[in-house]
Amino acid sequence: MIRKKRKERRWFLIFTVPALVIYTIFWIFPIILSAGISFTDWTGMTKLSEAGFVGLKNYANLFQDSILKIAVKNNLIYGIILLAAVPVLAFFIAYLIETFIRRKMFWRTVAYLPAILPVIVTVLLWKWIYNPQYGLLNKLLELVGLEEWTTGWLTNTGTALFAVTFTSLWKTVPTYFVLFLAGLQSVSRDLMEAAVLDGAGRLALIRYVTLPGIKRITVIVYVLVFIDIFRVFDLVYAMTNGGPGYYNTEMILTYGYKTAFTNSNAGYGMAMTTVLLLFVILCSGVQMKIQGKSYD
Amino acid sequence: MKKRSLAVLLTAAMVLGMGAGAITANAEGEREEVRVLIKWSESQISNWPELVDAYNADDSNPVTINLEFYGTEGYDDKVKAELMGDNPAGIVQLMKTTFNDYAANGQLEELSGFIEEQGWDYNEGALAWAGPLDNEDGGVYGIPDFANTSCIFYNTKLFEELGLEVPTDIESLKEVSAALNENGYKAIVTGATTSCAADLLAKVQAQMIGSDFLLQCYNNEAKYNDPQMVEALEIVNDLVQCGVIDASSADYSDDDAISEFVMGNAAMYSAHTGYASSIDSLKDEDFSYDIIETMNFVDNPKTSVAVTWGSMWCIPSNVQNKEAAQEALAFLFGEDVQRNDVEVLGKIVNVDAWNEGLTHPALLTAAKQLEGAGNADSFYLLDMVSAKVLDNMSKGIQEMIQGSKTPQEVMDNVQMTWEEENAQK
Amino acid sequence: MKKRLEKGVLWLVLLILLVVTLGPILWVVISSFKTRREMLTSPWSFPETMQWENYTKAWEKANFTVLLKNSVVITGISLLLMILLASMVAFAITRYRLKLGRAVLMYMLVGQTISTGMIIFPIVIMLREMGLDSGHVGLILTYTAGGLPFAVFVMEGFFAGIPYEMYEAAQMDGASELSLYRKIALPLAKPALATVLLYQFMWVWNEFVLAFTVISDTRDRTIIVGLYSVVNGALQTDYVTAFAGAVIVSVPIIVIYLVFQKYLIQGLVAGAVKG
Repeated sequence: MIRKKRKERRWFLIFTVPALVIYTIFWIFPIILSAGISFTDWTGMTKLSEAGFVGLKNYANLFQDSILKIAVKNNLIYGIILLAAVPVLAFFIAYLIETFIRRKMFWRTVAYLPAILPVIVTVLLWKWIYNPQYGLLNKLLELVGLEEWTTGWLTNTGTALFAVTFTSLWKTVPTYFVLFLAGLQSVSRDLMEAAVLDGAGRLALIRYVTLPGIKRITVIVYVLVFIDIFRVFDLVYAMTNGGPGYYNTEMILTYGYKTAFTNSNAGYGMAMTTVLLLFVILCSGVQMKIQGKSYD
Repeated sequence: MKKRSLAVLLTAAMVLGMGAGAITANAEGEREEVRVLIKWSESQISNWPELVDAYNADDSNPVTINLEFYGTEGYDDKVKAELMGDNPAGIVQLMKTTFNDYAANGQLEELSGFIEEQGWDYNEGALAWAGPLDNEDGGVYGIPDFANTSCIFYNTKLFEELGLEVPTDIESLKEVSAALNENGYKAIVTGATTSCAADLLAKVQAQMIGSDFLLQCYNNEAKYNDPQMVEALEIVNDLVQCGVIDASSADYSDDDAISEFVMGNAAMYSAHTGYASSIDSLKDEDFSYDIIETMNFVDNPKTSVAVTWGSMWCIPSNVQNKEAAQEALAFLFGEDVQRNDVEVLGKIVNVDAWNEGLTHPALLTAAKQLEGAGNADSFYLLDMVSAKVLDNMSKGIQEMIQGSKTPQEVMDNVQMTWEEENAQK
Repeated sequence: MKKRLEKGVLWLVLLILLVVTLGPILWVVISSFKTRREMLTSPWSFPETMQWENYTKAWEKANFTVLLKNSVVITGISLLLMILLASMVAFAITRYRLKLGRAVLMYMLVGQTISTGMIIFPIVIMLREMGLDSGHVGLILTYTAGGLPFAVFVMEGFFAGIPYEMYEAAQMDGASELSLYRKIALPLAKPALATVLLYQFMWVWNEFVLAFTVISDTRDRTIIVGLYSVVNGALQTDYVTAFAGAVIVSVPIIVIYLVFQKYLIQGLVAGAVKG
């Protein structure tokens, strides 16, 4: 018995060590490195070895940073909209297609398409839609007689954050739509039919059969969307780079990145990302719990 | 068996990667390749690729040159990543704001000896500008490229049609603008979402206060929200209020502003002369324009115009083959290429004798302007502040154009950002 | 009556869906055949003549011939490594059911919270120090590592559904551990493999922040970075050319999706939903 255990352990290591090595070096170690840098005054321009240790100074500065405050606020507004809209819309679309449509393949592809396009293409597309002079959105508004609503959607300080958020929705809802699609397929048909025979209405069916059936996937979707909120980076970086006006679309990560690269303050920038990561890991502990259960 | 081969494969992959860096060094006898990182897109120096190809094809030349055009906003971050390593590109183009930091940090080669060796007769003003902001011993850390002046482009045909005089001071500018507005044209457009917002302030600031004041702010001997600075921005704000600078500019990038200008919707476009090439690439055959030669925003201006040299071409101090990089730089800024730039691109270069071939009307005017601008006060605001301050300034001025911030608030915010930046470092 | 109303609402929703998702994409494709002026003046119409040269221009301007090759190499190798390594880990966890397995799974899943935006700065420094900044090796290994958490997550869920008796039966017949992995686990896991492949292809092929910052030589760039440089011109954006470039870049990914889509749902059902 013990020999078997030992043999299993050996094979276990053989199968996992290559992955663990690469994963640790190229994904975990950078995070440790940046946590280390966050305790120094390194500008990012000189040799790292010349940087001086400054203790928690960078962390203390986080509370005095007026731009960071704006970034956190933007990130929260963005996050609340996403969290409120993405799971609901994704479920709704998945439910419609799964329940009512016969040519599912076509509609699935249509609904999923935005998710598979590269971010750069999405950005290019929406930048053009939002353009103040020739943008599709403004032309559309003119067409229906709402000229006074036209604006430079990405450059107007009042609308930019929502314009970016909408673009993100356009790309994120389809991503999670597929998860719900998969969830719905696993809901027991027998249970559905039984409920229908009992004379349950459509809404009752959703409430008492469908939703409980996809409970697990729903929780996963919420957690993943939550993580995504704070990871938002490339879309904003390429679309507005934090502008217009006073950092109206600046997010925590884009500001951290700018601080490290553009403003030559690596130590401080790394302090930002480290705090953000710890926060996200803490929050997604919930996710770990849920996924952990599946193992038993 | 399988696991062993897998292990071998993985180590091989790692070793290969480690080795790759070393192998790139060229074999004996071959010409060294010098990479040149360029922020601009190819269309801005469209004559270079051909000239460089010809240079590379000639085996008697000591090195080969590889031009890498980025033309993107992420370029500055890209350069930083490059300079942090041990094997940076031989030549990098740096915008003045980032250049200041690198030069102050000792990361760029000092080039005054090199320029002397080449025997280039450089414009004093250009070289005075080629170091960090507190450049006491006058070191030269990069080759300044083409001189540009902060300017207002105007549609000559439209002015003629409407019988308008070219304005020379604020009063006449307002009159002209009122006339234009009455006829359904926008007066001045600008790209407020890019640095052209701050360029508006630069125009007035140089004339009113001079760039020495910006140095004082940088060294914390003065404040950006000084009453003089606020007053300068008030003048800009006033121009917005009375429709001289069209409010729609707040939403424009330079792309948008230029297309408004070349489509004839706006009569003037405020930027610096470097944008002439963009106008040229978008305009129709029958569109003609010039820049306003004299524009006094205040009485008795300290300088006629604010000058920028756009960017600096530098050799990183940790470059592996310094001689090779210098060879390449000597070619790119030597007489042949520079004269070609003047003739083909209509650029104003820094050796006066090479500027003979200038024909571009707007740039002829700019060259005339430059003659009166050889003093330290004529430096360009955009180049004299930190990257973060510039960013904050542009954003603030954009908010001001949109009507949500007053000049005082904008400059207060700039000062606050600068103090925060100092505290964070 | 109620039924008809329901149908009406359904089709209205679907119509909105179609307009919002497919509309802009189709519009990009159509616009990519227009001249620059045409696009500004008549955004809604079809092109008068098809401007195929937008495509040749985009292709040449972004040097797609070389970049396409780079992208294929980078995506191909990192996906291969990712799937190989992740399936090994997932197999080990589900097959041996050690306490250690659970710890390894947790450790891998933590990586899901890390994004490229967070590691971009340190990874650049690291790769330079390791001499992995030229060529593609550094980028490939980073993509591989970054893709592992999701890949392990999906595959572990799928492998857990393989009945333990199958392994035991095969073991009775004298099969080695390696052949259990190769002959039983892997073939059964095809839908999970397809799901991972599709998801990670989308990630690696579309990723641009790492690719843009890490790779120094323009000839080593990926196709997305090439497009980014065309799209994000410092002074002017040539939209029609950029649109043509966008279409070129998007075609491979759409083809991959169409090929693998039938496995996608299957893999997710087993991997993420039941898990």
